[in-house]
Amino acid sequence: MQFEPVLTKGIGEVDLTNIDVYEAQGGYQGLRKALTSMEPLAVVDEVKKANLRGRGGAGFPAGVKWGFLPNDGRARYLTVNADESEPGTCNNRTLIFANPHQIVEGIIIAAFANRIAQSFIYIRGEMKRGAGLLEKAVADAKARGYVGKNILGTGFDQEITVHRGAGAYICGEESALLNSLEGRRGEPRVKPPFPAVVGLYGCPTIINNIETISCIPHIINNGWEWFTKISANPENPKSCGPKLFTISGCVQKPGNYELPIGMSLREVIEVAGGLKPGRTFKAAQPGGSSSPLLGPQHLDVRMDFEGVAAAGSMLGTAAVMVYDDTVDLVEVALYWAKFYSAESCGQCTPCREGTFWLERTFDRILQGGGTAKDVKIIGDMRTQMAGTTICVLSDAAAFYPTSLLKLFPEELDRYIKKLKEVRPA
Amino acid sequence: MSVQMVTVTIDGRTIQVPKGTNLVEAAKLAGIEIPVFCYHPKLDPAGVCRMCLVQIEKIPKPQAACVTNVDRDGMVVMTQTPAVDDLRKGVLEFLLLNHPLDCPVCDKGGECDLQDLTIEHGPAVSRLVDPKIHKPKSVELGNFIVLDNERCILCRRCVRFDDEIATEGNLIIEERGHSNFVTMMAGESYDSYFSGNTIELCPVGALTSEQYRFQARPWDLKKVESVCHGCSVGCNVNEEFRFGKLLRLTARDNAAIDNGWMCDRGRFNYKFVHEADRVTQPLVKKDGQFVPVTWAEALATVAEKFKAIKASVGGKGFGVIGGGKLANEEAYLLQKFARVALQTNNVDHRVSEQLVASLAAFPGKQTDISDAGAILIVDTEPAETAPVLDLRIRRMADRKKAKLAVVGAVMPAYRGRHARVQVKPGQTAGVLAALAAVAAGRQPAASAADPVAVTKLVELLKGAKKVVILWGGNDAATGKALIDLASALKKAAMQNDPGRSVHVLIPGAQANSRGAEAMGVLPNFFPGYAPAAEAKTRETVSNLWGVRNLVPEPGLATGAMLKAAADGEVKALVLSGANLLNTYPDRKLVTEALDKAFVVAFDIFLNETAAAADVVLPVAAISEKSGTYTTLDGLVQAVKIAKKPEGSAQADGDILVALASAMGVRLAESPLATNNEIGKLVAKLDGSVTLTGAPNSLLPAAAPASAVAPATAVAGDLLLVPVDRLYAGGSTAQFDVEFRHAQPKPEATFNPADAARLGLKAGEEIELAAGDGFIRLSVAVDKRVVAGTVQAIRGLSAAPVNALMNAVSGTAPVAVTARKLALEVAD
Repeated sequence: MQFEPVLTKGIGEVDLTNIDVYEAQGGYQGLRKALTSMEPLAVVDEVKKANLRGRGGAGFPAGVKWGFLPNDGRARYLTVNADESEPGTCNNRTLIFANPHQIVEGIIIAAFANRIAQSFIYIRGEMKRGAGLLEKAVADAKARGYVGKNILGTGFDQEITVHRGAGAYICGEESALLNSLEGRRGEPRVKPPFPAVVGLYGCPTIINNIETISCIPHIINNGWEWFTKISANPENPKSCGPKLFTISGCVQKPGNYELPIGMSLREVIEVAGGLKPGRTFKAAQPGGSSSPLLGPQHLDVRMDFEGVAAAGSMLGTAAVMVYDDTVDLVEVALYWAKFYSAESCGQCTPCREGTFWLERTFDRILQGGGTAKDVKIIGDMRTQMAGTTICVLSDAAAFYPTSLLKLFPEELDRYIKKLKEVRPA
Repeated sequence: MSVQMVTVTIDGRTIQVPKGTNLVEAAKLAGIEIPVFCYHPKLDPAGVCRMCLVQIEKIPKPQAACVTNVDRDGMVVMTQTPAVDDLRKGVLEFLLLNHPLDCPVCDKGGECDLQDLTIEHGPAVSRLVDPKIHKPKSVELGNFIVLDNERCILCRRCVRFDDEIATEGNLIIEERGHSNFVTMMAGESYDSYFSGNTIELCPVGALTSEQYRFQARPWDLKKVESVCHGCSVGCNVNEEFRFGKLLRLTARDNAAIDNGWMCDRGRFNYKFVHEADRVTQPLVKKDGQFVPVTWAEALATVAEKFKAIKASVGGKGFGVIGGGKLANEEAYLLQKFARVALQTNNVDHRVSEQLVASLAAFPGKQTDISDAGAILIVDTEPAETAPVLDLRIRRMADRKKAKLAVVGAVMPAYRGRHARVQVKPGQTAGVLAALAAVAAGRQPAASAADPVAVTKLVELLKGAKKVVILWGGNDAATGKALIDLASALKKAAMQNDPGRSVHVLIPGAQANSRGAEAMGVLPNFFPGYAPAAEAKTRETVSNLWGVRNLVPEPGLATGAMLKAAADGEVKALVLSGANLLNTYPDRKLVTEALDKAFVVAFDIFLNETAAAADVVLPVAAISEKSGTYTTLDGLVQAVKIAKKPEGSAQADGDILVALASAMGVRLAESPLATNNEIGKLVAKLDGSVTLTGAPNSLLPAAAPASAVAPATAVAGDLLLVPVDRLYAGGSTAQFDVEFRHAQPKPEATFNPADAARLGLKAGEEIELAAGDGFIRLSVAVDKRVVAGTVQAIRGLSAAPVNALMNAVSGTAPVAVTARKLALEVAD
């Protein structure tokens, strides 16, 4: 099937931050259609039928999430998660910097569908320019009457506030994001209650990723059936739609690529120019630093939510990091361990202590002080750190080391048994 | 309202629990203990330590029991599987990784959750091969708390206590991940009035008491159940001794009173009992110098003097002041001593502005606060005078469970929105009268408060089914207006108004003010509030006491006694725990009275008043005598002897009996006989009794409340507002070398507008003057001070605010002048 870019259409060719250009490309038509010709529940239904799965990492169907909001008269909020901090991931960044109006349009439709009057975009603090672009987009849209009071004369009101984070990875976790937005310490909340029931300021709250929100205008414009047909793997109807892949590591043309969901890992690597000449594929992380490793035996795994999960990893943010035979996976392990140890909020014991223990253990192993006991300790983290804490940062920190043990035990053995390694330069 | 019950099966035991019970509590009901660190029944569950992970059927991941509620029937929970054991072992391994394991020198050793749970569930050896992380080990977090960061397991009980219970929210976790540590926001000192509770909440030895650090092991301490005598709340405590020395106080949970909390004054101000400065021998002044004498000589000296006075002028030559610090039985003996041995009704426990310590018409319990719909605070700062009771108010304000309204010249701070009517001193009565009028459906007279505010405030109060009023008990006109308001709120005055329950609570000026009041330490009332003027009362009492000719005429109140003493009519004063120079709102009058009269002071310290006495009798301190004490809501609690008195100090009651005996009067057959007398006249003081409060007639007739206070006498003058501070008043704080560093410095607090107008800057030294009295203080500025007033702290010997007050004007507003001190230039 021939794939036409949807979310990134026009990027690199025209200046979509200009509202005129965006509208000339068909922008704000979805908004017009939804607000003037559809009932809010019909919009929810459309998104449900389109099977739009959350692009932030968990892959939870957005329409179903919207359906969880209780109808109890409390104020409702929409919070858009733009705190993209997952190592290896910069697909939200492209959408924010190059196509901010698509986000604004998506927000208004989502807010309309859920009868929400106030939305927030929580943007990663480091993306200062992106925050400025979003603020400008909101202001421009307001000048056109797409944001503010009585949008398009329909009586629907919508305000959008852009809020910059203060630089914590954990604030990308939805409940930590809410705490941070409320001015509290950015720490995940105990769930249940889920944000859909008790969220921002104790009110029902929807939290959607930038990319999820960006899909919405297109679903409204083109209908749910169109969306469900976008797939490179028609055998799996559970995952569909366009997806931005951030492909990095040992490939010739690293970058963001918009692809239909469901291509094989091998094809995805080929899209990014393939491996450098003379190198062989060793491993890949398919969904950011938090996803377990895949090995050469997984090259034909379909890059959709189910396919990657079946291979023991997860699609996550679709940030594919490719490691060829020049990479020392134990060095990578230390790199990730340092990251998680620095980013753990510290509230849960296993994460606070475990992340730092892993960092120190890998550090020592790399310096030649590793023993067989260390391998046991790392293996134990699968039960001690994963699934034992409030959020999944602890799981994420344990995934790489435990998958390393499972798929590439020889990498650690080399250090522990102090074997001389023969590796291409 | 019935609670819905649901069925849960824990480790095969099926039980019924109220819906919403968390699994830790549900397991307790099933007789199963789930180990916890961060969970505490009095705090909101946080779910952070992960020690309580359990398995639940149909849920793949282990769940934290403390944050999992039983909200459906048929939940099946496993807490004793190998997987759960493994998780517990894992969490303990994580916690112990960098824990210093300095148990042999740790205060908590022996009562440490980490120690106990490690023995029960933990791994036997550590697998850590890297060196442990080192962190600061003795961080002075505040006045009384030392933090050991290495021992801290970051359960956050302390942080949550400060946020949820003290509702101050100053204690925080800083940094991320393994660098987390407990500290104060913006680097201040953790000087909350409730900081000591975090020591007991701490499941490890991270938060330690500066006073108790390295003093003892818990198993060596002898625990004695006692009651705190610091204020009228009556918190239940354990006094813990080693080798007869009081080493620490810990909380003893009583849901009706303290809910398991203590304030820092109660917890840390105890070392005075062993202070070298205590009076430990009777002192008699000879040629202007105190000379230590034997009890026989001291009692003979006093008895001789008293007999001479009695022979020359009779009972009206005596005045007896104090009793609010005594046990109920001793207070009873004090008034009996006055009435029988000294033949006078000149006996009064009131040593400050406070006129009443209870109101029988609107009885209330401290627990009434916790289910009140509205709380009205009048002319008092509960945090300063009844701190642990204030925790209940803070909770209601923080959780928005009750509407809160504050009327007065002092504005206590609470979280969340609440109604405030700021007035100048003397205007409260007018405002309350206006509120009472509106509540009763009448047209209010003009008051200092905006009429709209008055209407809204009445709506707020009427919106509640239960109203609790806290009052300082200080002014007769305010009291009368308050009674009118309470009556109007109570009864259904208007159509469609169902009425509501109204409860008045008055924090006592002294710990047992309410007990002394009930025991008849009053010039016009006998025990049990029997009017002294009624012949029937005297007949009943005469028969019981086996005496004739009780004095028929009512006695003098404290102020009148002092005046009479200054005029030479009262020849001798007996002061019981009454540091009048510090507390009575007319220092000049007290000085004159002490100069003129023969003064016998019962005290534990040679404070300014005792120093001016002719005879000082050393009395027993807390835990050195037995007796019962009455809380501000009338509960009677017994205290047993826990230690020997220092030196030759004696219990007040024993001294009174001996002194009477030296005068040839038999005051009491035995403690049992005294208790029986009290049982007949008041109530049997057996611990289950609640004493009735004072009749409205205890409030003296006041001049009709003028709606608006008189305008300030001289332009530029400010009205004085004496304020209470928890650490300020009382010799126990002043003479406790390990506590007095926390006492506030003398400060005059101005409204920013007044400070600007007078050109005063914070920190500047000034003098406040009224008449010929003056005190030196430094300037503070606070927008919560009502414009046109200046606040000064009561009870500080360095700057006694009562030097500016005079009883002639009673409790009427005092105008003071603030003047900058001229710079002294050295030669």
